[in-house]
Amino acid sequence: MSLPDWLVLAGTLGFIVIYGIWKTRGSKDIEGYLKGDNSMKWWTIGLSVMATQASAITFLSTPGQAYEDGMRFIQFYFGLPIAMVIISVTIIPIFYRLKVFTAYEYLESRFDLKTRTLAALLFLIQRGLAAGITIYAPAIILSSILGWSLTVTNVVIGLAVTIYTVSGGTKAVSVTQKQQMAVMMGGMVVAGIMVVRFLPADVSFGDAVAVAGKMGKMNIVDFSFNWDDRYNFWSGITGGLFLSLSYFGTDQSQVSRYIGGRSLAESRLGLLFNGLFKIPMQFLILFIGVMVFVFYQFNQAPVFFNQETKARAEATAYAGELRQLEEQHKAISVQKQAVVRELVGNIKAGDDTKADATSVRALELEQQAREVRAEVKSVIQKALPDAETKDTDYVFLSFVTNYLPVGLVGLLLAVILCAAMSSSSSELNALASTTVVDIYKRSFKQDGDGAHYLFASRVFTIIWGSIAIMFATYASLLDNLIQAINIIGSIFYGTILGVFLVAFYFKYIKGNAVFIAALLAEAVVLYCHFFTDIAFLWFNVIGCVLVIVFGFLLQPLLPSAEKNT
Amino acid sequence: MHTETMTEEEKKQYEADRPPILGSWKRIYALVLGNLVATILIFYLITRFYA
Repeated sequence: MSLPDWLVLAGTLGFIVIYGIWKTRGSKDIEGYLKGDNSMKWWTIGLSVMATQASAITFLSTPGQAYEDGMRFIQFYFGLPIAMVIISVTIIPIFYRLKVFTAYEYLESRFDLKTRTLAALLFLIQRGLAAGITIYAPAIILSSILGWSLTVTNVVIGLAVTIYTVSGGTKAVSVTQKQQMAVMMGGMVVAGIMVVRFLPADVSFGDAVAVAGKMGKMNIVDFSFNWDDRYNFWSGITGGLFLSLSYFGTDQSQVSRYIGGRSLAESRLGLLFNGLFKIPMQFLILFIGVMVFVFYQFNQAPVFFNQETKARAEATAYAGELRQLEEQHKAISVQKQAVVRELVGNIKAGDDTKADATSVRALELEQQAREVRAEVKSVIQKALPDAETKDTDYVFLSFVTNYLPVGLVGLLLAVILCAAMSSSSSELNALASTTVVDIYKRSFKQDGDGAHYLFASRVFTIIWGSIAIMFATYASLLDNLIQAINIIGSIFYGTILGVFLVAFYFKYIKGNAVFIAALLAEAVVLYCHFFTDIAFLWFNVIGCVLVIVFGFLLQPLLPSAEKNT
Repeated sequence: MHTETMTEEEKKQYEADRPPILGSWKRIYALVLGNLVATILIFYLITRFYA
């Protein structure tokens, strides 16, 4: 990486970290540290909510997902605006009325201590794992670019986040997230403009979108129903709704973003801001991935996007086989470029019949290129049995580092690191507040003063930061990074959401019944994950519905002495 | 909502919880949901157009 890129990267990140520490210096009590003294305006809350959800994985995986699979991942977010409205109407007023620090506090007033503790523990497990992945994602980039070891890179990123989160608590998280969002969105818009500018001079933006359409990438909405299909309208609107309800309504990393609002109205508006702008934001990121795909229809795409792993495989006895496959891939690419140019000519001429026929040939060549890529991955797997051969997360990165001019490479890396820091800081803050408020203060030390719990919050932030760094160091890629996060979330979120929905809407069900129902539902979800092919988004629905159904079935059979709210 | 029957504290709370635009929360919720429907419709038309 060049010196200007380093200056842009270090300057951007250094400014944000120092500004965050300076702006929020001197947190003196637990109220200020965990709730920001209830001083946040709606736009700070809205940007903070969006920045918390937008991790580095969003900017690494999503364009790669669009490159491989088109725009249809956007449907995953269709349930989100509905969830924002439901949470604004029903959940936020309850949290405000009870003046809670964490979402799980409410469960004790509605059910009992064991249900509160179970929900808090489920959150700590899944968010603790996710925090590791959000650090790991950008670490693999920097380590491959800088030649640093993954461990050192994980420690550097994890430490930067931990320092300002420990220093300023939830206010530091929100304050820094405003700058981070500006860098993220600014950087992505610049990347989008650049990729369109890099298209051949005779290919307009409209032509590029038309080519993407003919190559099957503008598949934004699919109304056909299929249980096994991860992304269609129905799984997005139902599974996405349940996942969003659970994530924004019951996950402390999001709840802590909006309960620190100046008023109920500010908190509501902050969430609704997310409901309005989340889909356009994801659309932009996916669309950039589609434009990168179009760019590679006119330029030679790498046969394997993770250059470091490919170089390691080329140093083995499989080098010859890889070279041969790469030549084959290049030959297909040259043919495809000619066909795609013909396709553009037909589109410009408005000849739909010819354009359709040309697109069939282009798709056949695309399929051949995919098959060669699959063979390359299989050879790399033989050469390096431990290597991860799924390279979608490297598609956007590979484009950035190989094609963007000096300075912009640093800016785009800053985008990815800002995203990592924004989501990690929220996670560490939420993990610490849940540990202190729901576990430590509630079950271990109830007689401490404010200063003691403030100190404990800082210590637990450091502990969770260390755990996240350790997990990041030993994490291996699952399917792809964004899916890994969503799968882990979906395994636990449905159950947690079920417990909260029972708490909010089914007063008949009491603590003992909901506690056992939650354990049984979680067991069923784990069975579905390990032993069935059901798409993971449905785990949210299954876990949630089962808690409610089991709760209703168990309630008449169990004694209960709980209070109602 | 009849503000004349409220106590001072309730009035303050009511004012603090009023939306700054569109006059009522129902209208803001309708805006968010209407925007979702319009977005899905536009996405559907784009999908059809480029299919």
